[in-house]
Amino acid sequence: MTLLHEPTGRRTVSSSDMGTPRVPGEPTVDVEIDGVAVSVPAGTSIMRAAAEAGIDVPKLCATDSLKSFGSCRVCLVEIEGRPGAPASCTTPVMPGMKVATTSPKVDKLRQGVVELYLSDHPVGSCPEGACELHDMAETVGLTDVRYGQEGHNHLNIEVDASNPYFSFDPKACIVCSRCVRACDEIQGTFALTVEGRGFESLISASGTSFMESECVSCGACVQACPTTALQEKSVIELGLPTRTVKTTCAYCGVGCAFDAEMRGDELVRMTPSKEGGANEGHSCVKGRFAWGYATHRERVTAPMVREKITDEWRVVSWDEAIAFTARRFSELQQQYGPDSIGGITSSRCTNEEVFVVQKMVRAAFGNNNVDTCARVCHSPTGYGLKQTFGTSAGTQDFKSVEDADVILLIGANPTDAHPVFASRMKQRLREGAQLVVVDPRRIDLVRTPHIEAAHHLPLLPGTNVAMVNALAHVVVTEGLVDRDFVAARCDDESFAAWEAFIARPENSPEAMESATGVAASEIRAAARLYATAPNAAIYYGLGVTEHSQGSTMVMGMANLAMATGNIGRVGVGVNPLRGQNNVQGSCDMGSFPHEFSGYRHVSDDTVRVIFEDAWGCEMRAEPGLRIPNMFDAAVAGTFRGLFVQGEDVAQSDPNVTHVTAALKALDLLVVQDLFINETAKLAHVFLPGTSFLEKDGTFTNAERRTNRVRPVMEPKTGKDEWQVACDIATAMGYPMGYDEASQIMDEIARVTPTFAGVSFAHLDEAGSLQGPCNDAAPEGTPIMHVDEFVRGKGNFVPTPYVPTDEKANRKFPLLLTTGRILSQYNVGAQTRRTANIEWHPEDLLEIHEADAAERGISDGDWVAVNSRVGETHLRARITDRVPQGVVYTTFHYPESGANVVTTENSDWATNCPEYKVTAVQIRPANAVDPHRVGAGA
Amino acid sequence: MSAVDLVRMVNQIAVNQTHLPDDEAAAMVAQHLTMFWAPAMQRDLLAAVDAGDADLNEVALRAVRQLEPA
Ligand code: SF4
Ligand code: SF4
Ligand code: FES
Repeated sequence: MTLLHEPTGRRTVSSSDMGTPRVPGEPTVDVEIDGVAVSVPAGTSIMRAAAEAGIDVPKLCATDSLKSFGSCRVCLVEIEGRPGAPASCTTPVMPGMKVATTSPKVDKLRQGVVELYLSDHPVGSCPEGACELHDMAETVGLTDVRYGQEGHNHLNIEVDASNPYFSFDPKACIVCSRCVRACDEIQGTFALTVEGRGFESLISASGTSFMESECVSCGACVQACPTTALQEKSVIELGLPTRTVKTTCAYCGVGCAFDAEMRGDELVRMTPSKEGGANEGHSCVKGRFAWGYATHRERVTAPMVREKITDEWRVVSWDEAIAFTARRFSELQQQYGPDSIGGITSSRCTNEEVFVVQKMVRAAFGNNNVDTCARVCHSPTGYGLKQTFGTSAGTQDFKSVEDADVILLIGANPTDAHPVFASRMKQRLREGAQLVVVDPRRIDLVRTPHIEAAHHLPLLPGTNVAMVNALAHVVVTEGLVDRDFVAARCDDESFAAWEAFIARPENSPEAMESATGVAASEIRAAARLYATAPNAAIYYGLGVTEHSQGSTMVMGMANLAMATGNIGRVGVGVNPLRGQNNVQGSCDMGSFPHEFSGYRHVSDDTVRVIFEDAWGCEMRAEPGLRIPNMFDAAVAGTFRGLFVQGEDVAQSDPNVTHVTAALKALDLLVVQDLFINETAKLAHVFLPGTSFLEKDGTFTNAERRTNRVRPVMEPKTGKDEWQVACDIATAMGYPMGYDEASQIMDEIARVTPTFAGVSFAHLDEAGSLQGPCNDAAPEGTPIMHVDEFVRGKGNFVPTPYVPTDEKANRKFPLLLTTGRILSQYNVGAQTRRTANIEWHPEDLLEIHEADAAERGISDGDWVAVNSRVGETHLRARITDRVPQGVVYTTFHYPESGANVVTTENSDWATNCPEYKVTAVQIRPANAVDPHRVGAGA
Repeated sequence: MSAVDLVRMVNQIAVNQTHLPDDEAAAMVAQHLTMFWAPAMQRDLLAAVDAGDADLNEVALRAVRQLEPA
C-alpha cells in the first residue's frame, strides 16, 4: 500500500506542541540531547527537554496539554548507559543524562510501529496536513506499508455524525486515548472511554452516540485528536484553514482567547489559544462552535427607520439614518429638555464601542443618562466591592483557583455559565480542594464525576444575607477571625462595629435556620471549613447580585473574606463570575450614570476637569437615570428618547409588560443590534451592528484581563459600530471622530488611571493585560489588594438581613428562580441561531415531584406560571434538583417569557432587578398559549 | 416619576440601614440619594412629600428632609 499523499510539512498545531506539560520550577537538571545541552526543571520528560532544545521527538499519544500516557511507542529514544529504548514522553530527565533521539535501532522500531498503525488506517481519508499519523510516517521515513488491509481491521465501523459540529470516524482512530484524556483531564466530564481490549479497543461515548452521551461538546477531544477520527464538520466541508487571526470569544465573562482559523475570507474553525491567559487552550461549545449566527440569514445589515412603530421599516442609507436619529434626539431635547434622552451601553460590545456611546451621551446629549446592562447583573458587585475594598473588581486571576484549598461557590453555576473556568475549578477539586455550594438548586458541581461538594447549603431564594451572616457569625464567635490580618490590613473601627453586629444572636445559624431553611449544623461546619483552610476563595454569580439585597450580600462576602484573611494573595479572594464577555469592561468604561471611566463619581470636581479638558465641553456633576429609572420616567412622560446598544431590554429586563409600556411611550427608540430583537420591534431606528468577527477592539473579562478582539472580516454593515455613535454625536453638533479603534483606547488610557498603560500595541505585545495597568503596574495586576486595599484599609460594613417583599403566600406559594444552561446564552439571540438549539430547543420549568403531584402535573406537561405581574406558559420538568417550594427556569427563548412574571423589585442600593425571587403559582395548562398575559391573575 | 416607585425605593434604602442609629441612618440615606439618584428623581420625591403623597418610614422621611431642593 502506498501512502495517501507524499508527506509534506507538519501541521502548525503539532509543531508548537512540546509533547508533555511544562513542569514548574527552576531549570536545575542539565542533560544532553543529540549533543545539545539543555537545562530543565526536575520532573520534565525527555520529550519536553528535547523540544526545549529544539528537537522534535516523533510522537502520537503525547501532546503538551495532557499528562503523558506512553501507549503508542513512537517516541522511543536511547539513553547512554541504559538498556532498551524507553518512551521519551514518560521518562523523566536525570542529571547528566545523554539521550539519542535517533539511531538505527529506534528508527527501525518507530517505523515498525507507524507501519502497523497505517495498516489499519483508511487510505485516502486524511486531507494533507490533517493527520499526525501521516506526518509521523514522513518523520520516521516510511514511504510504503507492507501489509494490506485485508486482515482483521476496523475499516467497516460506522461514522458517528450525531453531534452537529464534529464527527467521529472510528476507522481513522488509532486509540491513542488523547480524546479520552482531554475529556477527563481538561474538561472534567469523563464522557469518553476506551471499550474492549487490545485490537478490539474502541473509543466510545460511554456506549452511545456522542449526542446522546454526557459529552458537553467542548471540542477538547477534537482538538486533541492527532488523526481525522474526530474532526470538525466545518473542516470536512470547507477544507483545512490556511491562516489564523487571534481574537477573543464574545460570549461569557471567561473571555477565552481563540485562533480564528480562516480559509480565504471564510471562517473554518475556532481553536482555543494555548497562550490565552483565561483559557490556556480550552473552550466550551459556545465559543468553539456557536459562531454561525454572525452570518445567519436573519441578520440585518442595512440601517432602517420608520416614523411610527406601526409603520413598515424603510431601508435607508447610513447618512439618512444618522441624520434622522440626530435630528429627532435634538428635537426631543428642545421640546422636553436636555435630560429627556439617554443611552444604554452593552456588555457584548468592545470597550471602545462602549466608551464612545457613553461619551456621546455625556458630551453630545449633555447629560449623565447613560447606563449599561451590567445594571441588571453585576451592579451590586460594583457597589459592594467599592464600599469594602475600594474598587469594583474581582480580586484574582482565574489561575488562582489552582491554589485554593476550599472553594465557597455562591449563586453561580459555572459548569453551565462559565464552563472553561469550571473546568479549571474541577481540576483543582479533583486534586483534593473542598467545595461548599450555596444554591437553592442542586447544580452539577454538587455531585459530578470524581467531585462531591463537602457541603451543599440549599437555601431558600432570597436568603443569601441570612446565610452569609450566619457563616460570619460562626467565624466571629468561634474564634476563627484572622486577627493579624484584620489588625494589619483593615480599618479597626469598622471591624469593631461589624464584629459586634455579626456576633448578635439573631445572626447565628440557629436563628437564621428558619429563614434559610438550612440546618444550622451544616452552616457551622461549612463556616469552619472555609475559615480554617490555608487558602479559601469565594466565587459567586448572579445568584448573589440579582436580589433585593444584592449589594448587601456582596459586602457580606467581602466581610467574610477579610475577617478570615482570605484576600491579597494567590488562592483566595472574592470573585464575581461576570455573565457577559465585557461586563467588567463596560463598567470600567464609565457606563454608569454616576461614574466616569475608572469608577470616579461625577460629582468629583477634579475628575470632571479631566473630561472637560479632554472633550472640550462641560460635564454634569449630578448622576443621571439608571435603566429602571429611565423606564419609569418614560412611563411618566419625562423621558422621551433612548439609544440602546446591543441589548434586548424587552426580553432581558424584569416585568417586561412594564418595560414594553415604557418603550412604547418613547418618541424615539434607536436600537443598534445584529437582529430585530424584541426591543427592536418597538424601535423607530434600527442601526445594524457588527458581530465580534468584524470588530476591532478589546474585551475585559471577569478577571480584569483585557484581550484584543481582531476582525477576521470587514464589517458586513459597511461601518464600525463606534463610528455610528461618533456620527450621531457629530450630527448633533458635537464633533467626535477617530481614524481607528486604537485611538479610542489611547483616549481611554489618557483619561482613566487604571488603563493608563493599555494600548493596542502593548496588548499585541503582551497578549493580554490585567487591570489596573499603569506606571505602578506596567504589566498589569493579576492579584488585587496584595499589600493594601485600593481604598487603603479594608472596610467592614454591617449587613442586616432584610427579607425581600417578594414572599411566598397562599396565592403564590412557590418561589421561582432563574438561571442559564450551557448550550444557550442569555436571551439566546446568538445561540438560538446556531445548532446549539439541538441541546436546548425550549426553556423548561423545573419543579419538585411533590409540588407537581399536588397540582396534577406530569413531566412534559404545559403549565401556566402566574406571578402578581403576569403569566407565562412553559413545559414542566419534574426533578429533585430543586427543593420543594422552589421552581426554576432558564430564559433563553422569548416565547417562554420568564421576565413576564419577574417583578419590579430590585436591589436597594443599585436597582439591580430581583430576578432570582418571584412568588408564583403553577397550574396545568391544556395547550400552549402563545399569548402571554401581562396582568396578575 | 411615579411617587409610588420613588417611595418604595427610598423606604427600601432606609430599611437596609437598621444597623445604624436613626440619625446616622438618615444621613446615610440622604447621601445615597445624592450620590445615586438623578436630580429629577430627588425633586419628584420632595414634591410627593410636600404634597402629602409619600408614605415614608421614619428614617426615609428624615433623609428626604436633608435633601437640598435640586
Ligand atoms: S479519536 Fe482521535 S484522539 Fe481519540 S483515540 Fe482515536 S485517534 Fe486518539
Ligand atoms: S467559556 Fe465563555 S469565553 Fe470561553 S469559550 Fe465558552 S462562552 Fe466563550
Ligand atoms: S508519544 Fe510517547 S508513547 Fe506515545
